[in-house]
Amino acid sequence: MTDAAQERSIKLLSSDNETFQVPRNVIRLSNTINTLLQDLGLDDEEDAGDAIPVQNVTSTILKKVIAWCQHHHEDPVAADDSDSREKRTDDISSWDVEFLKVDQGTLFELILAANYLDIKGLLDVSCKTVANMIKGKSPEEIRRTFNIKNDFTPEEEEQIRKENAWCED
Amino acid sequence: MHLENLKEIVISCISDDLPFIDKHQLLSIDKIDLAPGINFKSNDLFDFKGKHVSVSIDDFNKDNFKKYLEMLKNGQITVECAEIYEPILQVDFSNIKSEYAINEDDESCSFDFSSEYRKYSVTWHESFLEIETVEIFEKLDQCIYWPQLPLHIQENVIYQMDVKSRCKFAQCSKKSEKEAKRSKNYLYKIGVLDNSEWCSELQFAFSENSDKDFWFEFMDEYSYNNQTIVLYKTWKNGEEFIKWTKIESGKPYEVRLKYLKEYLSKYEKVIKYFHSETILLQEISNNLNNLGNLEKIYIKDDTDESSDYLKLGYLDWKLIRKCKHVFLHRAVLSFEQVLELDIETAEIQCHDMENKNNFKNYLNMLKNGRIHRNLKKIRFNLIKQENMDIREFGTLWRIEENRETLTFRLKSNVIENGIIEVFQQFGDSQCHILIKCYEELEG
Repeated sequence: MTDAAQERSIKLLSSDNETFQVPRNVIRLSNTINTLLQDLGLDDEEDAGDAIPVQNVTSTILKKVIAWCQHHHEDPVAADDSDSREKRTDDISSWDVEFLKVDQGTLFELILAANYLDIKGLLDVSCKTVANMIKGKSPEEIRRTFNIKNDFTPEEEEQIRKENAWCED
Repeated sequence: MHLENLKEIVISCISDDLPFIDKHQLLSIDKIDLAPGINFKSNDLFDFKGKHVSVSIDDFNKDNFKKYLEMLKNGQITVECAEIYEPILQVDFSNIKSEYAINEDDESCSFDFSSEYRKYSVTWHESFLEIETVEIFEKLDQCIYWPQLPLHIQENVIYQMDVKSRCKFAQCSKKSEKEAKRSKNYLYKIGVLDNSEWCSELQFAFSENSDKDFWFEFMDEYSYNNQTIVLYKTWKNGEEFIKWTKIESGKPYEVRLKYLKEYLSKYEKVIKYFHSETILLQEISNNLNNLGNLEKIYIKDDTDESSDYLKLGYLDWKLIRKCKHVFLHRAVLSFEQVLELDIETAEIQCHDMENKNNFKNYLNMLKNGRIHRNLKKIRFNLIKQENMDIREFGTLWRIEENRETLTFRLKSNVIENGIIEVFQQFGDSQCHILIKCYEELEG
């Protein structure tokens, strides 16, 4: 992408028909939008034309996604995850922690939006937040949090409880 | 004065010129904390939508109190914390005692109740009544609905979970169990095995019965928060399961041993195959008590010979009498013990066999079908190379010498075309004698 292109902006259209003007260097964090612009040959165009429909994302969520990209667009590009690297959930920046202090419905939609727009950083941090939500919860509480139906028989449940007894505090 | 856009209103002292506050402007304010003296009516309280409400209600009585609880219980209103000052009901819960299970003798004036989505705690303090949300039961449509998350996002979330959370998650449902424990690689990927050293020192195979396969293989152990966690996998009916279990704090070797004991005691009757690279012979011997179905035993003790742990000969040979496949790299058996085995393949040390008379007898018994009728291959590792040189049998059998290998052949007296072939190899490595039994193809 040229410097000039980075200074341009594009329009995004939410599923509820709200238009957002977003600097291109901000929305570059979305691989979906990047690919779309490249495929349509609009990457270096002065005017990217009509708003790009983001059909699966509501204006409320798109607004939040743009805010996240705005804050993180100058972050260094993260290296690919290495399988050998230790996984951590306590490395969420304080800004992201505050940003993700939303109700579960919104968090759920943010995850889906990050997935649809292919914004890896947002997807990871929101998945980490979900993972953190279940820290310290009992299986019953996790079921309730995630709406998971318990389909174990009492015997099976007892068996798996024993197998995982080591993780009891 | 317009207050609609306020998020929070706190008035902690009263002045005579305090303007009249229109309660309709307060309805959606998140936090309302108004000093006693600014009095509201019960109906106002019922209308507040904020999370925190701290106000004085001047007409609060038993009935209003009951109505407020009912509205909370039915989910018509929700509140994170309500502090009601100077209510006139004092400590009189008489009309709700049975409904809210308040103990007659309870003078602490504190009780809990739940709506569908929240658990509230009610406490009477000296000058105010407090109703507090102590737990939120997530409402279905406000929850992260796990089954609706795309598979790779589920994986990503599990990937981010710490080990304990993952184990808790595995207990939620059959599917979540499978998701959490999908495969060795997946476990590795999601971080279970990060920083662990793969050693795979022990392997077991079990057979539950002839109809079903039940295999068990020790895979790994790794340390996590000063605890050594053992990972193992099983196969049942052809399906592979990965499981993990924790032993407890301890050094890896101690943990392995404890783990070994635990599983041997549980499964010893169905163990068919025992494989150990480094577990100590003495400990194995102490813990293998009833391996009636053992078909194969493999113990390779690579422990440093100077180690105190190396106690050759501790393995009780009776345990392996019915084994068809015996691989004992360091355990030493006596000549008589070797004769009692019913082996097909074996690798053993037997210092008595280095006596050439014993060895000659052994070959003769083999030839006449008195022992080891199903033998295919046995390798005797020689402790002292100089004690045995098959060239000494040159007067009995024709020795072929080919570089470092000596060979002679015997014909079986009981098996048609049966051949017993004896090899001895000399080299830099440990000297051994290999005996192969096979049927020679005609022509």
